[in-house]
Amino acid sequence: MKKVIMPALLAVFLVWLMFFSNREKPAQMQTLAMGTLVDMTVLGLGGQTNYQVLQNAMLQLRELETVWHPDRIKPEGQALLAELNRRLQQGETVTVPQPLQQGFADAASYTGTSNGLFDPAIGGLVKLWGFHSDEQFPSAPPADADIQQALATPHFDDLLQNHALTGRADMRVDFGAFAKGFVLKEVAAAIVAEYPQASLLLNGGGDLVAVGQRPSRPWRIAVRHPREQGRYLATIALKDGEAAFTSGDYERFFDSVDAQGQAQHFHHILDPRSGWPAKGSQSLTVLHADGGLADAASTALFVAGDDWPAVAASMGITAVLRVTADGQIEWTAEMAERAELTPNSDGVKPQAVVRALP
Amino acid sequence: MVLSRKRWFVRFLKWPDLVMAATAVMALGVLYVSLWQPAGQAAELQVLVDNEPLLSAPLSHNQTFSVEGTLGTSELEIRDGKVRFVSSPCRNQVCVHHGWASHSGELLACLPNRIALVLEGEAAVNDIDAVNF
Repeated sequence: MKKVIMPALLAVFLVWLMFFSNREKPAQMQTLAMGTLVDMTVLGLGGQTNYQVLQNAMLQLRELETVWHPDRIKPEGQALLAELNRRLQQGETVTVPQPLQQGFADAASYTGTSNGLFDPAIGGLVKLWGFHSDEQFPSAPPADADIQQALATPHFDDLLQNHALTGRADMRVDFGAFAKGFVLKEVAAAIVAEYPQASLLLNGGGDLVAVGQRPSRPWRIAVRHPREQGRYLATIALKDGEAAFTSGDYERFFDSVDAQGQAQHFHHILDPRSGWPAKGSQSLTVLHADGGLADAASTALFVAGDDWPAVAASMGITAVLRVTADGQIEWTAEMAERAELTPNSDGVKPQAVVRALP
Repeated sequence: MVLSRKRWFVRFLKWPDLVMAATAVMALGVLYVSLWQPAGQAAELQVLVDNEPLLSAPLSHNQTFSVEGTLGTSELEIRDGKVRFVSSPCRNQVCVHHGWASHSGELLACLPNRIALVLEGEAAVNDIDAVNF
């Protein structure tokens, strides 16, 4: 009798192992929205409810996409930002509609704290470069005279007074560096308000908002390497309620040849000071509990170049990972503690420099 | 004295121990085959056109094929467990510039042509849930 006890126990243990290693399969849904592919994962509510939550989130996402699109007027009248832009361009003074007010106020505050490096008022410049369009990037940069003219617009935080803006013919408010973060945050908040026990990961074209965690571990994400396709720069475990946003020069761009016959790379992150694509960084990643702030800050800090620590401190950002134009990796002390750099193809971990925040 | 000439492990091991060891080795083999996969490697490609699922394809089978989007024809290539846009009728070519994708949870899309590629596979314990870019 004694002789069979150990094998029997072992067999029971193995059956148990195989049974419980069958992890909960999360519900997942993809949709084209906010000018990108949005991938949503929900778990923790049971199969049927997970899908119901996803369905509602998708409807809300499409609604908010219409609300925040800078140009696309829809007949149903829900295109609040596009309608506002149209009226501003006719020179009217417009009160910001209630559903947009929180976002406008947040964005104005980030324009201030970033010292104008994040600025939704440069929508005219974005359009001049052609980066506002999903269909048509230009093949050459605009004339510098036109760029300088497009830059002659007040900063967004000066434009917005008492929830109202005064229009002018060349005005175009564009939340391309903010709306996605703000909208993903709103969608996540709506789900959590109804289902506090839900875990979700919202992925808007590579920008992430996480709530809760997997059953046995936190949501784990990888940051793409800005130059080596298919390789990771680092992996990070996201905290409950945290957003990860990256700005990079490798995604939306066009290549062109300048007057001297030199090949030039023009990417979509424009420096509001010069009107040209920001120089100095290949990619910059920010972690923060507020998706809207993380989105705006990743842009502002990318534009700031080597001076990013001062802007991070001013915007209240403490977790930053950056790759400089010459490939050097920089990060904050907090990011150094949380992110793990991915070894290169020789198995060597790259070196990173800790930059102190002032 | 006869006993002492036997090797030490024969003296301590009895047949149930051998049964147990054999069971363990066999179970290990079963677990290995049933659970092991390269970390994070996607197994299947899902293609959506205009937010509707169009087809899925295994990443194990190398092939090139065309998908009709709302603008025109995009060409996709599956090779060695990876997928990419070879060409697309869009002007910006963001999808083609993205290059290969192979990890489960990775996404590729041609927005003008309304084509989305979703890579799926069982998530391993140490796997990545999403790629930030």
